[in-house]
Amino acid sequence: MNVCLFELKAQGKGAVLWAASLVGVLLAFLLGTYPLFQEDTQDILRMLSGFPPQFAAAFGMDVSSLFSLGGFYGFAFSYIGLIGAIMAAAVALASFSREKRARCTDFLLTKPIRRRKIFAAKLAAGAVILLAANALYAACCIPILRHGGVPGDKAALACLSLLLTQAVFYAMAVLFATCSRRVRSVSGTAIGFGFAGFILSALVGILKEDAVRFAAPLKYFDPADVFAAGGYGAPYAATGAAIILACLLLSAVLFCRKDARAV
Amino acid sequence: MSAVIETRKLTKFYGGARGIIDVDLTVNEGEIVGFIGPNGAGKSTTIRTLLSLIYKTSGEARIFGLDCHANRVKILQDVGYLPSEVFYYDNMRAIDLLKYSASFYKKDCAARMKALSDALELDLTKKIEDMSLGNKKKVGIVQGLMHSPKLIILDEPTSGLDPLMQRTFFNLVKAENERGAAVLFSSHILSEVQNLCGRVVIIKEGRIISTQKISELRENACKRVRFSAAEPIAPFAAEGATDITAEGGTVSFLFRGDCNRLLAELAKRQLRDIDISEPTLEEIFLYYYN
Repeated sequence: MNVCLFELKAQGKGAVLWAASLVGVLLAFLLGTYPLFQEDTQDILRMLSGFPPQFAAAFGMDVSSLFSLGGFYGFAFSYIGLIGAIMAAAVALASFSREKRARCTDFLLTKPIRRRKIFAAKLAAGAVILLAANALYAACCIPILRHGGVPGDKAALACLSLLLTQAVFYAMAVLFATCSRRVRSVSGTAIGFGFAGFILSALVGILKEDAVRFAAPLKYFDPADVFAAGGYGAPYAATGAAIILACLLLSAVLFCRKDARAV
Repeated sequence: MSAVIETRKLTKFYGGARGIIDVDLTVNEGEIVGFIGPNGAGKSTTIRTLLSLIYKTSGEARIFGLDCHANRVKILQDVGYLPSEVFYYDNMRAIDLLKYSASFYKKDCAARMKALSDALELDLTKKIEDMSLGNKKKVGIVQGLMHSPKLIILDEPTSGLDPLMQRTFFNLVKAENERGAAVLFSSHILSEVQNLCGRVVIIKEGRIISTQKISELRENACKRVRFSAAEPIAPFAAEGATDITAEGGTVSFLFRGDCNRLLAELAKRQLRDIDISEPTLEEIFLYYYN
């Protein structure tokens, strides 16, 4: 419990800023930009037609659905998901590389606490932060979608995309932090994770190849699927779940079994 | 007297690289045992294996009669550890770090924390990142001793402490020992452990090469003598002098025996400079084991 509280205290301020950013970007898209898209549909269509179709696809714009609230949310999620991914990676990296960065692994591991309890406590702290941020996000997002005529179950599932996408990035970053000798910059590495995910998502949009999507974690729980088919694409969701499970299990084993490097 | 630390054929390899090989080490209740060896000899590897920071390749390691790995949590409740280099979460104040450290133990450490901080003249309100190396070390001492451990493991603990603070630290360790704590004191400075320990274990290239009582070590103590004379020196020889080298008017040798005889021998010459010092560990090893 003390390790979990320590982590929550250490990450508290950062988590509030991240949650505020997510909500801020959501509101900017759905309350700021979407009404403009509705008002100036023809102008925007004309503008988009001037670009190669790959350009719009790379930025997450599906012209066929862009002007419905669900379709626009799918476009907005390309960026909200990116921010969420960076946040999740930052939370995981900050927590699981904290002792390595401060070179005080010996301090924590010579305390009378099992390594697996330390791992679980850090995991619990990460879960609390992500769940709290997502609760705030959902509290803002669901009413807006419902107000725009999206059924409640679809609105909830579309909101859940953020938490599930974050879980994938969180798990991958936990594995990275556990395996790395040292994480020099939490924010730099987290941004790297996010943008790698974004580039892979852009490739999915450009290439239109289903197989590429298996390599794009930002697309595993795509809200566009929820609005188009009523649920996530099963093979991609399963891939996401498998990655979460595999990364966390492997991290736990390494965390408990690895020699602590001398400073 | 029961063994607090007991290792049998304890071996650790880092991949193919040698850590320690067949280390047999015993520290009994109430003992202060020096653990000396040159850098890279395997002192820290032995200690880190005992603390379960790293996992043994083979052999046995027991503390309080319990397997170090299987009973790690139970053992660590009663072990205090001070590493050679101390690092903590920089953005914390010392008091917050010590409270966090205390939260892992099933006892109230507040009074002991205060007493130790006062003895070491440590300002607990300061942020750790603003502290000097010596003050960080003091934080390490307090966090290592504040739960009144039954076993104290010190891995080259005096680096960064000024001589006055070293004396205070040694007094604290002695007081803990008188309270009943056993101490394993690793160092590469022989004179440091001589003053504190009853027994020394010498490790070299991953293997224990000798275990001696301090009294025996003192009887066999030797000094490194260097002098330069105003006049050219004829080939130098004296009873008890070995490893004699003469270069550019300076003579150097290891001496063991009656110091009065040595001084009488040196007084025959017009000396320009003289230096009598502790030999290095390497020199001791060469002296004893060659």
